[in-house]
Amino acid sequence: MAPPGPQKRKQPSPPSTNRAAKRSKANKARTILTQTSDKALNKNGDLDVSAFVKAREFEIKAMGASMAGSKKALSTRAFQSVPKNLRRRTASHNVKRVPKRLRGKAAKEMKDDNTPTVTARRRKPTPHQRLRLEKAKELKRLGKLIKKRHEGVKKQKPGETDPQTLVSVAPHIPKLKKDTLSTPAKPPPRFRKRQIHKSWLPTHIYHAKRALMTPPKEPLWRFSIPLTPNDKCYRSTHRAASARSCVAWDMSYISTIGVDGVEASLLGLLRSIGVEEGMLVGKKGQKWRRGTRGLEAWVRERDGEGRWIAKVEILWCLDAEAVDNGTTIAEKKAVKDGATEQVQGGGEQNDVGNEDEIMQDAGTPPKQVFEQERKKSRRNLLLRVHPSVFFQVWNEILKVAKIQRPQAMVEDLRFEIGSIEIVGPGSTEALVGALHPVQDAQSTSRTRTKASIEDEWEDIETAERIWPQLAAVTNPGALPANAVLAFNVSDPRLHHPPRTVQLPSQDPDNAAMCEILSSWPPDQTQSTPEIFDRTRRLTASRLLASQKAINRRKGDALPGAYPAPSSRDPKIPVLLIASRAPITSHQGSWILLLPWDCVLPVWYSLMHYPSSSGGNPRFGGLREKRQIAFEQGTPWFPGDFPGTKAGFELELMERERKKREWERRPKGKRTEFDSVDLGNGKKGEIGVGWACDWERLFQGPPPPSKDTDDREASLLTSRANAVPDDNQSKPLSESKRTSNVTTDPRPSQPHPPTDPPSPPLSFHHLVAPTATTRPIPFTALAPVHLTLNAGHPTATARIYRLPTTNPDLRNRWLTIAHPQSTVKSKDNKTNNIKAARRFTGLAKITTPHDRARELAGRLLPPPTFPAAGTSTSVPHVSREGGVPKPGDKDYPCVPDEIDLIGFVTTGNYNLGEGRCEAIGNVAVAKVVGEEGGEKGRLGDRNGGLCIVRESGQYLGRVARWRFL
Amino acid sequence: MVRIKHRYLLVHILYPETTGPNAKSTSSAPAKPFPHLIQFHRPSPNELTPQLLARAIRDQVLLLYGDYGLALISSSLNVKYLSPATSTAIIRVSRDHFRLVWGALSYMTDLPKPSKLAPTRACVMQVVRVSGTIKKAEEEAVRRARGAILRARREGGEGSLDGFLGGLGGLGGDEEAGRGEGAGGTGDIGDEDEEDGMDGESEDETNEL
Repeated sequence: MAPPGPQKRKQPSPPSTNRAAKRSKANKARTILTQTSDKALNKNGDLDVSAFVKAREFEIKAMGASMAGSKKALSTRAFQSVPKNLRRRTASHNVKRVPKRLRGKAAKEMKDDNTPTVTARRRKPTPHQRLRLEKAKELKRLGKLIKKRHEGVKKQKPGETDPQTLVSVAPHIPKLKKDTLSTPAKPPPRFRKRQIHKSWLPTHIYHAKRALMTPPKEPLWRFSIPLTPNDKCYRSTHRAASARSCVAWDMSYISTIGVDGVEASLLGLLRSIGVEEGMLVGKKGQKWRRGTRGLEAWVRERDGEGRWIAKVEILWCLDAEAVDNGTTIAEKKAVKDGATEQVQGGGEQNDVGNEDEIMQDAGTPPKQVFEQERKKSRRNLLLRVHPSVFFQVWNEILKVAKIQRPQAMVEDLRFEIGSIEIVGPGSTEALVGALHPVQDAQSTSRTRTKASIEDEWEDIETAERIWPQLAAVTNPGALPANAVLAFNVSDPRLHHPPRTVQLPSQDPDNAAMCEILSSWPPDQTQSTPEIFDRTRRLTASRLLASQKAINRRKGDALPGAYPAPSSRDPKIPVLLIASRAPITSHQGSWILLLPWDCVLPVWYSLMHYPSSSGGNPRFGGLREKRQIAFEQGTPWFPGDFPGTKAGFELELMERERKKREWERRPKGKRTEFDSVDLGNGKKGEIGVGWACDWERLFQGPPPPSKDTDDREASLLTSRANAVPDDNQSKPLSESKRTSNVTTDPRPSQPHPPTDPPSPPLSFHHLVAPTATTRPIPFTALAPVHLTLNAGHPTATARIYRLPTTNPDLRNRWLTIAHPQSTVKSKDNKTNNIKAARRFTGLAKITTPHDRARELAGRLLPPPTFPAAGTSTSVPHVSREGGVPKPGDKDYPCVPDEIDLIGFVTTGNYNLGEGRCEAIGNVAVAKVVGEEGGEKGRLGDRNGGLCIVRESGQYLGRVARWRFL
Repeated sequence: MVRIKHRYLLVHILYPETTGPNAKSTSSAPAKPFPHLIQFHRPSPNELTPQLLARAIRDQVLLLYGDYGLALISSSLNVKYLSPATSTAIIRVSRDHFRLVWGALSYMTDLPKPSKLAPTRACVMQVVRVSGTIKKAEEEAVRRARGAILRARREGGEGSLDGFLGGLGGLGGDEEAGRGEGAGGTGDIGDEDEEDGMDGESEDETNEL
C-alpha cells in the first residue's frame, strides 16, 4: 500500500531500453584493434623489416586509442568533475550543491537515478516556515518598489559621475585632529546597519562572497575579518606561498599611527617605548632612520613593569633632498672631522622650497647652520600596529609624545592608510602587473637640476623605473632587508584586466637585476614618499573616477590598448616594504601601503593578475596567515604570544570556544580530561584540558586551602623540591639561584580587575630570552619552536622538560631520544667524554681509511633524531631489546607537573618540512639553566630536549626545542 | 566494498624455429639473414584466434592442474587482446590464480591448432608483464613495441636512423651486448625480457596485495 500524500521517490522507471546500447558502446570502447598476420609480412609473405615496424606502429596506435577510448567511455557523474578545492563529501550529488555550470548535467543525472532533490523535511513548510516565507515574499515586493523609486530619482540627474562635469576644485579637507582617535568614514546607507559595532575592510564585499568571515556578532579586533577562504586551500596555500604562485591578504585592519615632530623627540619617543638603542644611534640603523628601510621592533610600556606590548613596524618618512645633501655632507664631514657624526646622515631635512639655498649650503657646509636645520626640521614616522594592541600602543605613544620637548604630534591614521600583504614566488610579478608607476613631472624636473655624481643613477634608477625591472624577482627576501620603495601609481582600473608582465629571460637582464639588487640604487634616488602626506592621500582617493567613467574611457580606447592617461588621473601614492623571512631561503613578503580608498581597485587588479606560471594569486584569511607563519617557523602575533595582553585575550577567546565545543559533544564522545592516566598514579589532565592553562603553570596544582599566601608558599616549596639532589654541582647551583629568584620581591601584583584581558599572575612576554641577563623573572614566557620525529601535537599540548626529580625516568626518556647510546647517570663523566669525542668530528681520526669507515658508519645507520648529533654509530653499550615503542609497557610516562614548562600554541604537520612541528611558549626560568646533567650535551640556553604530550592523552613524545 | 580483482598477463608468442610455414620463400634464401628479433617475433597465423588461445590455455590447465585448476581459472579467463600481426596477447585471469595460467603458458610448446590435421608449430609463450590493470599492460606493450621498432631499424639495415633514434631506446647497450655473443637460441632473447616480466609481477604483487 502506497502511503497517501507525496511519495518520497517516484516509482522506479521501467528497465531502460538503452541498456543494451550502453553495453555495446562500452564493449566497443574496450576492444583493442588488431591486424591480421599478413600485414606484418611483405607481399611475398616473407618477413620484412618495414612490415614488422609497421605492425608495431599500428599496435602502438591501437593501444593508445584503447586507453583513451576506455577512459572516455567511463561514466562520470557531474560532481566528479568538480575541481578539487570545491569538492564536498556530504550531499555531493545534490544539484543545489554543485557549481552552476554543472547543474544541468547533475540535474539530469539525478533525474535518471531517481534521486530526490528536496528533503522530505522541506517538502511542506511548517506553519512557522510558511509565515517566514510569506514575509520574505512581501519584503521582496517592497524592495522592488523602493528600487524602482530610486531609479526614477537617479534618472533625474544624469552625468553625476561624468568626469567632464566633475569639478576639479578640491573640496575642503578637514584638518586631522592631532592626538585624537579617528572614526571610520560613514559607510553608505545600505551598509550602515551592518557596521555599527565593527568596520569593514575596503575589500569586505569581495571577501564576504568568497571567505568565511568573523561572525556578525563577534567581530575580531573591531573588524570584520576574513578567517579562511570558502574553498579547501590548505595545501594550495602552502604551494602558492612557497613554490608557485602567491597569496595576498588585505591587511587594512592593521592600524597605522603617524607621529610628527623633530627628529630628536621622535628618537626619544622611540627610545622610551623600547626600540633597540643600536637602531636609534649608530650606523646600524642609519638607513632606517634615513627612511629607506623599514624596521620591525618590539615596543614596551614605558611605565610600570615595562611589559612588552607587540612588534610594530616603524617607518621614517624620507626626504629626497635630505638624502642627497646628507650623503654629500657626510662625505665632506668625513674628510673634515673624521666622520664622528655619521649618525646624522639622514637626519637633516629642509623645508620644501628652499632647496636651492640648501644646495648652495651643501657646497660650503657651516656646521652650525646644518645642525640648526637638522634640529628644526620636522620628520614623520609611521607605526603599523596590530589592531588588538592598537589602543595600548596608542596610549603609550600619546603619553610619551607629550613628554618630549618639543612635543611630537600623534595622528591616528587607521582608516586612512590601508595595506595589502603578499607572499610567494609570484608576488613581485603580480604586484608589478597591478601597479603601474606614473612618472612625476616634478620629480623629473628635480632630477635635472641636480648636479652630482648620482646623476646617472637618477636618470635610470629612480624607484619608478626600478619597479618594473623587479618583476623577475621570485623572492622579496632577495632585496635588501626591509627595503622601502615608494612611488605613485595610476588607477589600476585603467589597466584592468592586468596582463602578464614580460619576464626577462636573458642573462644580461638577470645580471642587471643582480646589479640592482646588490647596489639598490633607490637608497640614493628614492624621493619623498607621498603617502605620508595627508593631502596627497585624500586627493588620490577623491580623484578616483567612477567605474562608469573608467568604462567609458576604456570603450573609447583602441581595441587592445589601455586608455590614454590624462592629467586628471589620480596619482595613488604607494609604499612597498620588502620584508624578509627569518630563514632567508623561505619566501619573504611585500607589504603594500596605500590610501584606504585605493585598496579595492588595487586588490581587484592583483586578484585578476594572470601569473606567468599559470593561475591567479590566491587570497587568504587569518588562518592562512597563521599557517604560513607556522610553515616558516615564525610565531604569529597575537596567537603565539600568550604573554602579551593581546595574545592572552585571544587565548581566552579560544578557551571559550573550545569549552563550548567540548560541552556540546555528547558525554561518550568527548575527551574525559579528568580520567586521563598520566602514569605514576597521576590521574586527570593538568589544568583545564581545552586550554593552554598558563595560570596553572605558574600557580602549580591547586592546594587544599584557598589562601593565596599558602599557594605561593607551596609553589615555592614545590619548586625547591624540584631540584634533584643527585645532580652535578653546576646545575644544582643554577637551580638554587633560580629558586632564589622566585623568592625575590618580584613584581607580581595582579592587574586591576578593570583590565580583564591582561594576563593574570603578571606573567608576561620576554623578548630575546637568550640575551636576557639573569635573574630571569619566574613568570616570563617566550615562544619556542618544537620539532618532533613522531607524534602530532596541536594547540594546548603540554610541554615538559626532561624529568628533574626522577633520574630513572629521565634516563628512560634519554634512551628514547638517543636510541643507540644508553645513558647511565653514574658514569656521566665518561659519557660526556665519549660524547665530546663524537662531537669533535672526523678530524681526529688519522688514517684516511679509518676516516672513510667512520664516515660510512655515520651515514649508514638510519637517522635517529634530527639535530641530535650525538646519536652516531659506535654504540659503546649495545642495548638489548631496543627502544620501547609508544604503547609498550616500558614506554616511560610523562614527567610530573613540576616539570611542566609550557604549552603548544600552534602545532601541525609542516608541509614544507615534511614532519610535525609546533610553536609553543615556555616559562623561560624553568628551562634556562635547568637542564640538569645534560648541560654539556643537550641543553644550552638556546634549546634542548623536551617532552610533548597532547592534551587529554597520556603518551609523551620527545621533541627538540629552540627559542624563537 | 568487495571488488573482483584481476591480473592481466602480457604475453609474447615467440617462434624459435628459424623457418616456418609462414615464410613461403625460404628456398630463395635472402641475401642477408633477418635479425633474430624479427625472426623470433614473427607474426602468428591468422587461424590463431582469441577463442582458440583461451581454449588451449584451458586444456593446458586441465592437463597440468586437473579439474580443480580448470575450475579455478575458467570463470575469469579471458583473452582481451590477441594480435596475430605482432604475436602479442593480453590475458585476463583472476588475481588469485594467475600463476596457474602463467604456468600453463610456460608449458605450451606448440601453437594451438585449429584442427587436428593442422601442422604443429613450435612456439614459446613468454609472459613479459603481469599487471593489475589493463592500462598498465597496454603501456608495457607500447613500450616494448617502441623498443622493438628501434631495434629492428637499427639491426635491420636502416642504419641511417641510428644516429638520432639510437639514443631514444631505453634498451641500450646491454641488449646489444647480449646480441653480440650470439647465434642465439630462444634463451638469449628472452633472458632480459623474462626478468623484466618477473620484476613487473613482483612490483604488482607488493603494490596491490
